[in-house]
Amino acid sequence: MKISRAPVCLGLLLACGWASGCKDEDEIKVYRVSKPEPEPQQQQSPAPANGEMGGMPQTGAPASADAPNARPSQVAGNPPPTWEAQPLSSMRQASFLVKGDNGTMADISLVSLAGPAGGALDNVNRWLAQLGRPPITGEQLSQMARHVPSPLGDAMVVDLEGLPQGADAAKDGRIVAGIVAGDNRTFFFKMRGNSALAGSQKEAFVRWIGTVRMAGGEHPHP
Amino acid sequence: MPRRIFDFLSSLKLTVTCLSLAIILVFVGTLAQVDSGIYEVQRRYFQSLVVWWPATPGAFSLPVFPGGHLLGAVLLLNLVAAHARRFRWTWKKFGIHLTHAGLIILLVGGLFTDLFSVESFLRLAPGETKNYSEDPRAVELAVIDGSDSGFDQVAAIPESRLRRGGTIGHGSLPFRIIVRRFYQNSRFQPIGEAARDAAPAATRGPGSQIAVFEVPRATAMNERDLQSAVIEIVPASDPRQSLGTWLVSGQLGAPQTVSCEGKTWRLAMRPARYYKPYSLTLRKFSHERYPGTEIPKNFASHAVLTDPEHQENRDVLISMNHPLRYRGDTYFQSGFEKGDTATILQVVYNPGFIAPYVACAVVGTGLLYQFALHFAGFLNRRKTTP
Repeated sequence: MKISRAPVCLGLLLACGWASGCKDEDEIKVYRVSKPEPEPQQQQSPAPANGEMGGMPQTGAPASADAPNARPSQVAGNPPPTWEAQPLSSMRQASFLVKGDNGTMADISLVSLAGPAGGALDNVNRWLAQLGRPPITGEQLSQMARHVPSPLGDAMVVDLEGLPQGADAAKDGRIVAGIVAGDNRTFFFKMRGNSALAGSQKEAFVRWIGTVRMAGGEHPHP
Repeated sequence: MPRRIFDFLSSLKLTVTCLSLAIILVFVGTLAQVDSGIYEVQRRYFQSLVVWWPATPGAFSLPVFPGGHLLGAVLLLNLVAAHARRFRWTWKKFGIHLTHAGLIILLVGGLFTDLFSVESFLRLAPGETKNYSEDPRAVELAVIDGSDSGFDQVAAIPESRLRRGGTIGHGSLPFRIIVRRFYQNSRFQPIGEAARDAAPAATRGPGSQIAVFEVPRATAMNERDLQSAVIEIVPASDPRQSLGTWLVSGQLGAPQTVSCEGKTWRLAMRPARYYKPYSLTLRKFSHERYPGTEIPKNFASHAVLTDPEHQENRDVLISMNHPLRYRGDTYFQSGFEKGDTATILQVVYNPGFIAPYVACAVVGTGLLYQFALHFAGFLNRRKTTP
């Protein structure tokens, strides 16, 4: 065997190295595609009945980045008539304000986030921190939580009390919240406000959780 | 000097060293899956020339160990060099030559598969048609010009480019995109929910009401990262005039819009797409269970394959162990969504899929030949022995 085979081997090594680096993953691809047909749910989804999930715009227009409040809600439910519907934001699928005596009030919202969104314990501890309370353990959470069936899935409901320093007792002091963990999405129901008022609305809030579903019968796990 | 290099490349010591390093790499890589997950470990340890250690996370890394590609390449080179050095053509060694050739095909095929294969998924609901599959672990920022009534023009910016940061421009776009921050895995909170000092992620769109937090990478097989980015858009004609910042993420629902020079583009962070020159329409998804149980017996997708270019329009059945192979892609029945509302097909494009079959056949033939030769010699010796 002649020594001239060495350069061939070196060439092979260089070729392997070149091959390793030749996959260009940074390239911007530009292409044309036929316009997608409208989503079935956008065509079929009826506008929610009046009074159902008040505050939802009745249009089916797509969400616009510059007009977040024009976003249609993807959920429907039956809130009590005493709750005042509030404009939706890009994060809030539902938003209400409930007013009590002596200027007391509570804010009610439904937010959905992709994925586990931190998990139940982290979120409950975050809410406790908002009320100036220390965090709890998973075991404590399972003891204090109540489970409510809902069309979106099993809702874990917690009732947390505490008044953070400097907070207005007329508008703060209690959080009643429900978490529904889907496969790809987590729904957060939250009522935060005056402690007595939130307590009086608690059962109505839990009943509302039990009625919330995806608008148009859409599967809850997009 | 070349002689010494050749001696080194063809030495058995190099083989043993590479195999030992490969064992260590597999061991360390397996342990690292606990913290980093299987896909990240594959990328960092096995699909790389060297394993980098982040001395200063996010800023400075040091190469600490040879990666899978380097070890594979050196082993291949070592095998070729050793074979070249000792090669003597005789029928007696034909089986050994074949066996080595098979190993070389296996190694080259493995490298080829690693470099060029693409794995993605196709989710289809009954009646739905798609001409693209998606990578659930990688995202792309699609900048879509929908001004034409018949088609959308898409500029798809891959995740790796967004992760690198900096300014992104393309001839088809009248603006530049400056990546202000890329989050490999993120969590959103409405500004009203977040801590008091939390700032909105962006100035335009839903991002103006959201605080974004970086969270550790998802490592479990059934979890995935939720990538997000904050981008600033500036006109290419006047980069000093910012149009604002946007938060782009798969966690946001509908695409956002940006207007520049009288035209409007949609911005959508979505799973990376692989478009095909043909489409599949799901007719029906069937899911059989063993009687009285929820244990799947068989699940199958009845679909229609349409390919105008090849004038194909036929029914196809994709079921467990019966994949569809078409134009280089293989469709495996991978799963289904809850309530059988959609089928999930795994789509594999692997130009080197034939290599392992060829390699096994060549190695098998070589071993068989060598065995037969020795066996014949043994029988001959027995005959001649009194």
